[in-house]
Amino acid sequence: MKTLVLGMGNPILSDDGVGLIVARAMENSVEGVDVVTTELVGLHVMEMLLGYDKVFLIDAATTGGKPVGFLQKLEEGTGGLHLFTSHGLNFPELLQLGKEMGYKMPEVGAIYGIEIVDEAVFGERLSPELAEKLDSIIEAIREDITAILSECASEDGATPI
Amino acid sequence: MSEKITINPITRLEGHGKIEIFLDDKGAVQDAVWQVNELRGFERFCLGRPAEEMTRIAPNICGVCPSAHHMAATKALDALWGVEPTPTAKLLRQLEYNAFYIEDHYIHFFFLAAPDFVMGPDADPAERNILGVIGKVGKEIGLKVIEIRKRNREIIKLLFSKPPHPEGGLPGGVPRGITQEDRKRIQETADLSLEFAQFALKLFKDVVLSNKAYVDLILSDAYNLKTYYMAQVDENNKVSFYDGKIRVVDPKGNEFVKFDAQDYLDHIGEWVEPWTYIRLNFLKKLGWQGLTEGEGTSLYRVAPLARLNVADGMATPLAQKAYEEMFDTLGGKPSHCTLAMHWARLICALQAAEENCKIAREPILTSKDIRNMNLKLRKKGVGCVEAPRGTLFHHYETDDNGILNKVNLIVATAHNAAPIAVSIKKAAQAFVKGPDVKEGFLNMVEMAFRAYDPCLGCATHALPGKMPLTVNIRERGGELIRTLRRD
Repeated sequence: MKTLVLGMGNPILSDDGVGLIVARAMENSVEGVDVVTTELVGLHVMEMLLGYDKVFLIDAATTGGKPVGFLQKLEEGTGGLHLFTSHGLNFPELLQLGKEMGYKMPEVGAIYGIEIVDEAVFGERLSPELAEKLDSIIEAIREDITAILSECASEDGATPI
Repeated sequence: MSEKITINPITRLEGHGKIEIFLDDKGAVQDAVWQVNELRGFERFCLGRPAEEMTRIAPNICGVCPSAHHMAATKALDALWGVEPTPTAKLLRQLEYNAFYIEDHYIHFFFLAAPDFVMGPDADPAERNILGVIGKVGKEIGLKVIEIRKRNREIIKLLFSKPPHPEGGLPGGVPRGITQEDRKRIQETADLSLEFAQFALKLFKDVVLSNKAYVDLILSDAYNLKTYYMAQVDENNKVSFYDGKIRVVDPKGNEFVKFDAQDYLDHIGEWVEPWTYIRLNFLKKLGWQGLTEGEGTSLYRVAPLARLNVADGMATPLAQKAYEEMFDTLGGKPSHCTLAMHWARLICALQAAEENCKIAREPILTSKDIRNMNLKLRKKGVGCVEAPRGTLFHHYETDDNGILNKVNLIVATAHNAAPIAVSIKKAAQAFVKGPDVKEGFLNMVEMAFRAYDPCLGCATHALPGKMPLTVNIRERGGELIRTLRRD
């Protein structure tokens, strides 16, 4: 099974780029996945998904009422900051468009939303509050992806990771 | 860890648009304003950095037009170091920039504009989207758009790496040249793009122009705004995306001023209003005359229609023919029909495709002479390109070591901010009669400013029918009567 971990965010918008940082941390630590990061959404993302069987998305989120660094698994059809926006296609529509076009689109393994401060600030570093929780966020997502992939492998009769 | 959460479909860079409509005692629209939460602080973020970093940083400002910011930054670095790119480097830049134009304009047209015209402005929002368009005109068109886009992105990647955010711009040149093998693929892409550009214009004629109701809508007063226009032109006053002088024409189409990009501050003023965070641009020599149109206005517009109004013609033959046809249909030049932006956009994409067909066959395109290293720090540089959404200025100043101590950017949405506000007011006056707003009103108002394809200020890049937008309808005294919200 070909699996993609896709990190989304803006690298010069401080906490907004947390999805990029967390995704890169999955590289070489979760076996059998490709890790890609992107600043954009829309068709660009659809093209990135082509050829994969399963995709995990990691994005910043501002749901309000949650502490900075709060990690949540989002339902498909809702999403993080970069799953809806910019030039027209939100994530569910992307998947649908791909299917309508006859492309094989991947199954969504999980969408991880990481709560950040709502006020956008330019910067190349995470806020201290988020940076403090970064390691635990990475670990939680790593464990979750590994567990999901392991379960899939068991269902397929393949050797678990 | 599983929890269902609904999040407003906006990005932090794009902000959130809000429209306030004020009714008079009889329920007619007295005023309407477009409020934008603009994200500030980018210029300050850049200070203290080496200027050459700007071609890496600037493309991240906007998730929609990174190539435009990249090229404006690259040209600002040329000016900062007082260097001209080599002829081959200039051609390669133009090749990449045209490829970006083609990609950008077709996404806007097919994904954002076409749903209004193919499905109809009053169509069910659930169907008024790209999926509805594909269902009606066939998935082959969708596949063509995706293929053309993909192939043009290959050019961006080949020349500046890492699409969609190119980042390899260098003062005096480009980071790499191309081989004869690359040229073959580029030629194929350019030829396919030209074929597609002609197809797209034919589709526009078949679907939009053959429908009297749509033509009437384009020509209607609700979507008409008499302003000045600004755009970049070449030495023959033809439309020019990459380089040239900045020309402004008055509402009758007469040249008002023509200037070098580096003198932009002499001609562009910025006005601040308490009801919006975005700065409203105006023609400095005329002074701020308020949110007015027609005689006495100091507002100007940029973007595709402005390019065609400003120029004496297109720079390529097929685009020139389409240009003449457009103005014939619209009743002459200039045209103030805001919805004609979509038509003008397709004509600009045609010029970009024609130019790339020519560039792809230039003998010097594969030359190794891709960088002029005669760099002399001038400590001030202004770069300008005609971005897909309109004229884009990047202005950098540095200390003796090339460290930035001033950065100023003027983006298309700032040029268009005041006209967008007036366009919305006119659309609201046409479609809002009292607090009970008819179904489809939101979309009819959205169409007034979706035509500008604004970004950086408002999340208008969502699918029609899915744009996050709040409309407050208030009594004359300001009391809120009704709120309409679309997430």
